Order: sequence, then structure tokens, then C-alpha cells
Amino acid sequence: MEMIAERLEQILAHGALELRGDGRAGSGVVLTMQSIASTAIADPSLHVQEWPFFSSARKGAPTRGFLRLSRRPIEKASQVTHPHIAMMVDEGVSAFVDFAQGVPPGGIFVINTPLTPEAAAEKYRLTGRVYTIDGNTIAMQHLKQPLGNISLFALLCDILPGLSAEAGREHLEILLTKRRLPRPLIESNGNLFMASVGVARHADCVCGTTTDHHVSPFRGYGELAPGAQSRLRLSRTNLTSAYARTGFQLHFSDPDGLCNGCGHCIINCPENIISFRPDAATGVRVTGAEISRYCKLCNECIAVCPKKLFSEIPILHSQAV
Amino acid sequence: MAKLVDVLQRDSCFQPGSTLCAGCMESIAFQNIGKLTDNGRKTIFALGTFCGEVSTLQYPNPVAWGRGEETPDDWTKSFGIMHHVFESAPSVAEGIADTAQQLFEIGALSQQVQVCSLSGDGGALSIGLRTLLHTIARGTSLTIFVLINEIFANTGFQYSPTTSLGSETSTTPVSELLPGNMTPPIDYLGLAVTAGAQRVVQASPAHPKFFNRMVEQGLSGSGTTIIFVPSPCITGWKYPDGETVHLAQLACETGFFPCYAKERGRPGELKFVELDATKRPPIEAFLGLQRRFQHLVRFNKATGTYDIRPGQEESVARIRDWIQHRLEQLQRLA
Repeated sequence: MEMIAERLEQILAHGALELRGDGRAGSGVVLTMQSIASTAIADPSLHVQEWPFFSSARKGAPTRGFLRLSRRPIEKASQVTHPHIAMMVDEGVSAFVDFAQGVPPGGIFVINTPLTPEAAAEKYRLTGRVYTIDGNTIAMQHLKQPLGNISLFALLCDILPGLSAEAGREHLEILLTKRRLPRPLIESNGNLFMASVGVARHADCVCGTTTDHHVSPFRGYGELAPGAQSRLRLSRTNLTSAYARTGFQLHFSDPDGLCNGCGHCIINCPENIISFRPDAATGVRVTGAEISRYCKLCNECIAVCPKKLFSEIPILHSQAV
Repeated sequence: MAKLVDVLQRDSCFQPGSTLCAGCMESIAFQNIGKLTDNGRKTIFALGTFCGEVSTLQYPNPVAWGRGEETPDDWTKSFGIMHHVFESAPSVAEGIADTAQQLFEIGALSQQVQVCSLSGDGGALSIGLRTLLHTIARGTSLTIFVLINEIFANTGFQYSPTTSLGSETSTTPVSELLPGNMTPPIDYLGLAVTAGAQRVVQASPAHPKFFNRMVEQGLSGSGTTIIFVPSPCITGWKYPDGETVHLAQLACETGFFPCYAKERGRPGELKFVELDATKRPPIEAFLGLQRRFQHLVRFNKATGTYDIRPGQEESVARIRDWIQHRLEQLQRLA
């Protein structure tokens, strides 16, 4: 730990310490970055630059947050492509993006996962210092929601020079008050923060090769072949099943042939992915749903089915992602 | 009129893979509109800017509109999209309908096309009320859909003219001094009737048979049909997963968004909602599910229902009075 702190302090003194966080809309990556920024800015010797990055995509879509810390004025204004610290707030995002892209060997990886650092390094092929914290479980106890962002903030308060747990909690509460959260919720967030201090695990791992997490240089869009553009732009390539709650999937079972063909699930499926076949007696008979690619797990079919044939089940961890 | 079970099996022109929120009512509405327009005629949509546009026509990846693998020259499956800025969806649709009619008359088109305009409540009733009313007044043959989620959801949940009384939005925050939104919503149904629409409808896919019948009437009939689709917004209204359809039904039954249909020259018809306030479900059931009304009602663990918070009786009574007043007003519209 001391060695890491020393190294980070050196980076801070000579240039900018760069952080990149990957999460999904709603998983709180923006809040984590803002909390770090507002805690760090209280230290007059630190310069901070922080901004989130996302598109018009909605809840569940990938979002990014960038942060630069330095003891000198920060002149760079580009996005962070080679971060010193790469953070993953929600494991589900690994289906969309490579959170460790561009991190030089020996970098720091901060992951919200129930896995051990060694297992996480193995899974994501990481070389460097890997921190893991099971933020979702801790948050379930305090907020009844699987949000790992506050735990990651607590962990980063530990790692980053110039930040402390007390100041972190104070600034987190100020930020949440600004966001007009109700008072009891702010307190449980503070408790969640304190519960997350010091429970992270870390290990130095060498699981990646030099070709992993390579940033391919941008060479422009070039000439597209005729028709290539239309192929590029179909929504069918946008696999929104990764928007779903991490670790869960939709399940359909109708062993007794209870489906009465009412069609409520077909009408009310926002993605139109309920599969069915025509049936002489009932009109249509539902046979399941195409969950592997587009199901966002919105729970509408579970709610509208009068026979309760749909349910939400946890995915076994080996199958996840 | 096509049967529900046949409509279910049609091709929708709205594809999976859009970036809308999980459980978005707009997405459900698009699926059903997409299936209903698969009736052998070419359809052209005009889209104003709203959630359903920015999340389904997003460069470079998800363009969520397209019907199967058909080539554009298959007339029966063909459809077009024209995107425009916030306020102009109805007037652009009118332009498309006029042009298509001219082309049909000189023989350049072998069949008449059906034109639909899609916009959100902020775009159609706040920024674009002018174009909406003028388009209705001119009486072109087209179907205008206005998806009502009571807020500018696309830009960060700001107040729009349809926002319910007492609702918390990012521009009508709740504090010790402010009770949320204090302006009663605009009477958009009355406005559309007064402007002279052929058919004025309020229906959501939560009542599928009514919704399908109304959309089919709009597509096949002449004159302007305007269909207001109440769309519960999972992120802006802040309710748990899987409650979208339930909330849309409750919104109708409690009188917030009554299903309504009115043909020009005939009296209007309220559907699935009682005019007698005592026969309707209590509005607390609707308010309680949503966190934007949490300053008005709270969950009572003992009875399993939602109660009014002490001191807020007046605000809730104001909402209740407004609902009763509006239902009676709709009933009287001739």
C-alpha cells in the first residue's frame, strides 16, 4: 500500500493522475467521480478536472467518467485514453467496453465484484494492482439496491493521496443534499460509505499479455463500401441484453401448457422479443422469449402474465457476461 | 377491424435494440403502432425530437426502425421516417401527406400512403402547440400521436404543460416552501376538439383492444386523428420495475389519464373510468407508486395501502378536485 501511495504522489507532483470509470447509466459512476472531485478540491494544493461522458442512451447503457488530479494546473483537456487507475462500477458493462483499455502494465484496477482480486484479474486479463470490493452486497444491506458506487468511492478515498474517509463522507453527504435526496437516504448512504472502508481486497497480479487491452489508433472513418453504412447502423447490432440487471435473466417455463394465448406479454413487451407459435385452440401460444440478445429485464411480462409463467432468475456466475 | 390475435402476429416496424429505458411505455407504444401500420399500405412517420426519437435514431449505431429483411421496394412492408426538430412533427407530416396525395393524383404513386406523426408532450404541447393546432385545423388526412409522459424526459425531467399537480420535476422541486408543480395541466383534449380534429382519442396500449381500434380508425379514416398516448416514464416518474402497464391502467381508472374518444359532431365517450368519484380507485394508489409524489403520500405498512401524509390533505384534495372537474368537462365536450 505504501509503495502505491508513494508512486501516486510522484505522478501527482510531476503530471496529472488520470482516472477512468466505466459504469452503466444509473449505476452511479458520475456520482463517484463527482464525490472524488469535490473531496479533492477541498485540498487547496490539488487541481481537479472531472467530467462524465455518455450519449443519449438511457438507463442501463454504458457511461464513462473521467478525472484528472494534479498538484500543478492541468493543461490537458482530452479524454483519458491511458488511465493510471481504471475503475469498473458495474460488471455488466464488460459486455460493451473494455474497462482496462489502454492501462499501462502495472496500472491500478478497481472493480466492484464479489470475485477475489486474483479471480478478477484472471477473468479480465489484468496485469498490475487489482482491488476488488463487493459493493453490491454491502449496498443491498444499507440501500436495498445493488449500487456499488459508494463502496468504490470509499475504496478510492483509501488509495488516492490527499483524500481521507472522513472528508469523503462529509463531501458525499453535501453532494447528495444538493441532489435533493431525502435525509434518511443520505444517512444510509453515509453508513454504506463507512461500512465499505477497509473491506476491499487487493493483490498484485500478472494475468494479461502485452497485446491485451490495446488501444487501436483512430485513423478516421475512411471510405465505406456502398451499403456498409446501413449495415453499421441497424439496431439489431446493439445487444441491449447487457442493459439488464447484472447477474439476472428472464426465465419462461410452461410445463403444464397453461398459456391461454391472451397475448398480454406480446403486446406489452417493449422489445417485441416474446416468441410464440399460432395455436388452433387459443390463437397463439407463447413459447418463451429471445433473452440472450435484447432482453433488458424490464419485468413487464412478469407483471402482466395472468398465469405467472415468466420469472427472473440469477445467472450462474460462470455463465455471466 | 383486424382481430387482436392477428395484429399480434404482424411484423412490427420497431426493432429491438433501441437504447430506451427498460420498461419504457413509448417503446411499447411503438411496437403496437408498428404492428398496426403493417396493413399492406406504405407508412411514413414524421418524428419530432423526443426520447423515442433520440434513442431510436442514434448515430452511428442503433437505428431501431425497419421492418424485417424486406427491401424498400416491397410496397406492402415499406415505410419511411422523416426526423425533424421538436415542434414540427405534425406540420412535416402534413407536408408529407399533401405531397403524397399530389403524387398519387398524377399517378406517380400507385397507392395512397398513410402518414403518422410522433412527438412527445413537451414537443407537441409546449414548444409546438402552434404547429399542432394549425395542422389539426387544416384537416389533412393523417394520424398524430402525442406520447404524454408529463415531463421533458429527454432533457432531464423538466416541467412540461401536462405535468400533474403536485408532481416533483427538476424545475418544480419540492421544498418547505414549494409543494411541487402548482399549475394545473393544460386541457389538451379540449384544445384538440376545439381546433376541429376529426377524431380526438386518449388511449394507451395498456388497453390494447381500445387502442388498436382507435389507431385503425385513425389510419383508415379521413381527416385528422389525434391520439394522445399516456406513457408512464420509469425514470422520470421514479417507480419500480415492471409497473409500467399497471400504472397506465391505474392512470386511466383513477382519472389522471382517462381513456377518451370523440368523433367530430358526436358527444365524447369516457372509457374504463367512472364519473362518480366514489366508484373510482383512490388516487393515492396511483400517487403512492411513484417517488415524484412521495411528499404527498406514504406507504402504510399496517393496512398495505398508501395514506396521505399529514399536512398534505389540501394538496391531494386539490388534485382530486381537478380530476373530477376535468372528467365532467370531458363529458360535456360536444
